[in-house]
Amino acid sequence: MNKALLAALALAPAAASAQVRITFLHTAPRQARAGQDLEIVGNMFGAADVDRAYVHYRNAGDPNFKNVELSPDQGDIYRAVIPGRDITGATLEYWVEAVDFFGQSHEIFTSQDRPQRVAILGGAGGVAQAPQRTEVPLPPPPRSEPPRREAPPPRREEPPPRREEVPLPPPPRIAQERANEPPRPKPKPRPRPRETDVLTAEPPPGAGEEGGARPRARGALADELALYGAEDPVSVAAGHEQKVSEAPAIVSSVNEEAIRESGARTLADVLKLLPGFESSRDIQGFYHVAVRGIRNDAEVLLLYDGHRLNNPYDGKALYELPAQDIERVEVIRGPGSALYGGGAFLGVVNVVPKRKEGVQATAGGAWFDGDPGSADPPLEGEAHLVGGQKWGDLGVYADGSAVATNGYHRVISTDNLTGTLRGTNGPNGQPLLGKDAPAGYTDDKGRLLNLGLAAKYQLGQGSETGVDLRWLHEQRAALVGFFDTVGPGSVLGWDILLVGAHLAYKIGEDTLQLRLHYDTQSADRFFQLAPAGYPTGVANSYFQNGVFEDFAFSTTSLGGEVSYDRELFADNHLLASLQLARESLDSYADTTNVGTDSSGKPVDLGTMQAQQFPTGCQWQPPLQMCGLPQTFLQPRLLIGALLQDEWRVGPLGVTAGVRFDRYSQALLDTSALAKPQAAPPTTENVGMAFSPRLGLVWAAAEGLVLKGLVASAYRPPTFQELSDFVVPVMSFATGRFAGSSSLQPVKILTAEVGGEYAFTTAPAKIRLRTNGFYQRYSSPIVAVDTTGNNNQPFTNRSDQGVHIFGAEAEARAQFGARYSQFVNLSWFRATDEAAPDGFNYLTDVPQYKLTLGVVQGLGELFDLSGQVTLGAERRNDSRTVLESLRFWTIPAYAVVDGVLRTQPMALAGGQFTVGLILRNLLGYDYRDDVSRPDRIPGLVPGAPRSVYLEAALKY
Amino acid sequence: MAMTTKTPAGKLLLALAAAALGSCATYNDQCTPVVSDPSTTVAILGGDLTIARADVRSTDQEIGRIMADSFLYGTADAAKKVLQGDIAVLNAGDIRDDGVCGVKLTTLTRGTITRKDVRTVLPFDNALYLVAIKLSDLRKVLEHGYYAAGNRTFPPGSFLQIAGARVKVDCTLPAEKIGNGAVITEGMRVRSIEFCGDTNIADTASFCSTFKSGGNVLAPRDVTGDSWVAASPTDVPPDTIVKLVTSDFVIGDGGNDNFIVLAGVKDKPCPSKTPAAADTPCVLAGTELGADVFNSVVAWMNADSTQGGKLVPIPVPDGQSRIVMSSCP
Repeated sequence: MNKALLAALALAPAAASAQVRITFLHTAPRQARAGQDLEIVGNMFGAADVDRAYVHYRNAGDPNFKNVELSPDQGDIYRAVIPGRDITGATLEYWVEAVDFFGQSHEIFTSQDRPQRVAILGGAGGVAQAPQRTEVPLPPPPRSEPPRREAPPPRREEPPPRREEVPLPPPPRIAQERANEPPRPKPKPRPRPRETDVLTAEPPPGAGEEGGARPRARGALADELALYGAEDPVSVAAGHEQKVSEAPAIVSSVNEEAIRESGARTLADVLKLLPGFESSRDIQGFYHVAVRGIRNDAEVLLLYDGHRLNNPYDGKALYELPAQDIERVEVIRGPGSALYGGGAFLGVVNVVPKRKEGVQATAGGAWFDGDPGSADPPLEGEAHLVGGQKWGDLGVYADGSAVATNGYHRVISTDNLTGTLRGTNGPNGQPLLGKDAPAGYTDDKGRLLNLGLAAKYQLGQGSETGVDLRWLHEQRAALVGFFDTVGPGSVLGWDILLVGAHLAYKIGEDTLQLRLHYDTQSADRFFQLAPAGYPTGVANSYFQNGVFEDFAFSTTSLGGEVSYDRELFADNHLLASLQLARESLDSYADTTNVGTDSSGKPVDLGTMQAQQFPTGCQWQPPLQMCGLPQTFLQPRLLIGALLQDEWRVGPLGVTAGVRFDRYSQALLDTSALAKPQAAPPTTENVGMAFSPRLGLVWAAAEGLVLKGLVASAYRPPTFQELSDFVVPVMSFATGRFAGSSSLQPVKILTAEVGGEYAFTTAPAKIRLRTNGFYQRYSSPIVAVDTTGNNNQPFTNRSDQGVHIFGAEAEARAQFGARYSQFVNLSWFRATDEAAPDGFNYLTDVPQYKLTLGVVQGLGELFDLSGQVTLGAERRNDSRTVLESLRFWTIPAYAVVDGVLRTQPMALAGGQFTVGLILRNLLGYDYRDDVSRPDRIPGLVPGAPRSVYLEAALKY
Repeated sequence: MAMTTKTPAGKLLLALAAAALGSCATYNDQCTPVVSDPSTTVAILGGDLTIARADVRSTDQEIGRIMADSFLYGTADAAKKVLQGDIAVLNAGDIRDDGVCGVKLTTLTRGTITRKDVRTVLPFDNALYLVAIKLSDLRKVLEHGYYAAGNRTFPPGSFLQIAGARVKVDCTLPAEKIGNGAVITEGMRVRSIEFCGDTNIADTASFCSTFKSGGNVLAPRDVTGDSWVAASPTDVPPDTIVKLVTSDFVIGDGGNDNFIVLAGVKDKPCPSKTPAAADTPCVLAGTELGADVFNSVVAWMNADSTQGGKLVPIPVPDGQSRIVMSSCP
């Protein structure tokens, strides 16, 4: 390795007036092909100040540059295409210019004097193929003379580029050489970069020099970005895009390239790689994400293209989103209520969908290892399509995914019915379960559709409006079953419709934003509780198709947010925002085929099939089980108001804000509905919360950024936690909690300190991040079984909370576009104040996790990447004797994933890649906990080793 | 239930990780039940006590008698030194032989009994309630308690250990049948309920050690019908209200363990201290009693074992028989 392999990251601080600062984060393409269009893409920081931007290009030797417009694509991503008809020589030269609203020109990527150079394959220079890696000329130290191709410079002997050696752009002398372009104002001399720009202020080593830029693996922005967010922009922390290092929160970002390199298949897989995050699957196959040691669906906010995916009923969110649909995942570890209101509690996950011009198609299949014995072949097929087109100021984007899988099959040796079934004969006189047969197998069969459509229209002057539409559909089996038995006939459906519109309107330096959303979710969870032929308890009477329960609900969230971002004075922005929302439980039913006849004897209500349940109540009072719960929910109205100021004073950035939220919800007592003469009584569940935040980000020294953060967050109770729904006691209805209409919001206070140090040393660019945190819950809503009673109510614990403290650290070394290594480590300790000493550690999430990853180019054609993830042993919490009694231990896990992928290859005018993804290479038997480990002692088996093969074609 | 790594490489990785990071993780002791002062001595047992599931869920057992006695003791009126309950029932599912760390504990051996021992056997945090119930309903409760009396193969957790009374069960008679929340067949096995009528809290040697001849005796039912027959002058009418002590599990929402007569009674307070039969079953006193299963058992065992300020062995066996079963398996 030598510095030639260092990242050719070129984020050049732009020339700027006193208040205008524009930078362009861009990776030069490795090569161009004669006659083929070349895409230039990068992130524009300070995009709000950009009136227009251009890519100036020429074939080396031509006297004049031509130009194409660099247009905003998604967020701060800008794209341009150099026409293939102009790519004819041996080497292409280009540089990038932005013009601000004052008419000032800024050289934002290399310069006219020292343009970026890209080799042209098949061009006039006779380059027929990509240069061999060993022939790649390595860049000299900055300011050195350009080396000749035939004389590669020495490698390790090269001193690393030092910051003080970074050449500043030459004085502007653009206009006189731009004879074929419209006249533009001359750029002002570029000011010295700010301290926080230290790493990115360097022009690419060898930029503008003959062959100086190392051949790039890919011509996309993602090449040089860290595996999870070395310098990805994030918008999740402050409501606008900024660098991770500058964000007033502990954030990480994973871009598309990093996701691909990791081999992640779902969003849950992506999150598992991040420090502080852990994902697991429960017995029903739902994914749960834990942040900093606490696992609660309603306390991790999942945003997808700005829409909340956590459904208001039970807080669950669809974490099995295909990773191929994701452009970027941004996360906050810690509270986010000051910006997002309720639910942004333990953390925030913001998923940015792909919005690309052109077309990208991916198709693949998978095979899962596992236990023999199940009929369905353990195979999966999937297809993904992403496309976009711009017509002037209008851009239209679409993405679609379809996944159909049989999933993996692992043996469940025993469940709660095993003993009974082995000793019971069915209608045919045969035992319901053979003597040596296992209780069953995991059933991971399912299909998933994700279809998105968006349109954006540039209104000029930086203003924009747009609409978006998305439909998510999932239908799958329960991984094991409902609670404590294997239910292979279970079918769980989930449909999500997201509709949104937004407007960003520039008023001078200020921005008015308006967002509207209409989101609906409906779930239909059909569980098989006992198998076909299960006896009813009456002689010679059986449930012909087994015992079923079908639980269905639908919810709607309708709302809007208006915000105004005003620049009070230089480097000071005030954000005011008002949010209104209405969340409603539109339908709710819980039905079963277990009924009673007129004499009270249990009967099978019919030979019902999945998805064909009758509506209405099948239970006799007082054991009402279906229809509306005894106390049902009126719509919840939420209002939130935010005031936040961001102020940069020299090297210090201060973010201070406070948000006030109030929600109210009437709960109707349906027991009075039978009395028409009187209006049914209601109770009102009202909650309020102030969520302040204070963030200090201090660029303390060159490459060193320190953060100090204090914030609080809240979440309202879920509809499920509120509703007084009591199920009858029967052997199939165990393990449930009952709602409580008096629940109040849960709150958390978090204090964090963090630091980042970035520096360049031979042969790598190094970035280190670390942070420590302390969090305290107050009035947590707990669902801890202490009595063995069914239908224990959810309760707020008013005087006893949960303490969590811990630390996270990340390190990344970037040796080049195709060579990098990273490691991250997270650790926490969580204690529950309500439990006696010695019993108060919360340990059902791995207390430490270590991830080591590598990206390694293999010759010119292949890239090898992957990671090892090690997680600590898990044990059930033992806050009560009952929890101790139902103890489980899950050993530490080690999961190794590997990806072998080709470099883009030309095919039918596009770029073609093939990838081989091996997940859980060691086949390590990692598992997750079940509801009753005393009844299903094998826990929930995790996915075994699996092999994915996928091909992608990009135009 | 521990899983193992599948490959040597996996083991190596985990070994490395454990060496480097193992000290970062802290766990609770899974082999000690959650209880304060676990080593504090509660009582001394004069003999071994079985707590095996098949025993306590099928027949009258001394551990059940001790615990049911503690229900009466724990809910006594401390100021007046009198018991408030006429009868106490404990669902045998409360008594656990699961042990900790997966090691079953089927016998409490003679000698000292600590708080840890009691907690291991009684893991649930149930409160004790005083319930007004008429005799005919109490009989239904007991019928459900003994529908599987003597069945050691599939012993139900609803089997009742009792205090304050003696019950005679005839397994040749029809047992209650229940299916999914409804009684299909009324049970007829409970032939009599004899109350000892001992209300003196000072008589801690053993509540109701003898069933006095003058005690209240509930006459056997007519096996052919649902009427009560007068068998002796001491018989009491079926709508006579008695005071039952039991845990909030038994009277919980929906009737845990399928005690259908008591379903939801936990949330049904009596309109007065002397409710009419039509208002029963209802709660005379609930959480305001401040009594729970674990602490009542600890207090009672300690009282039963204390003489002259010193701990002495509780006689085991105690020679009582409160569930007199005939022709049962």
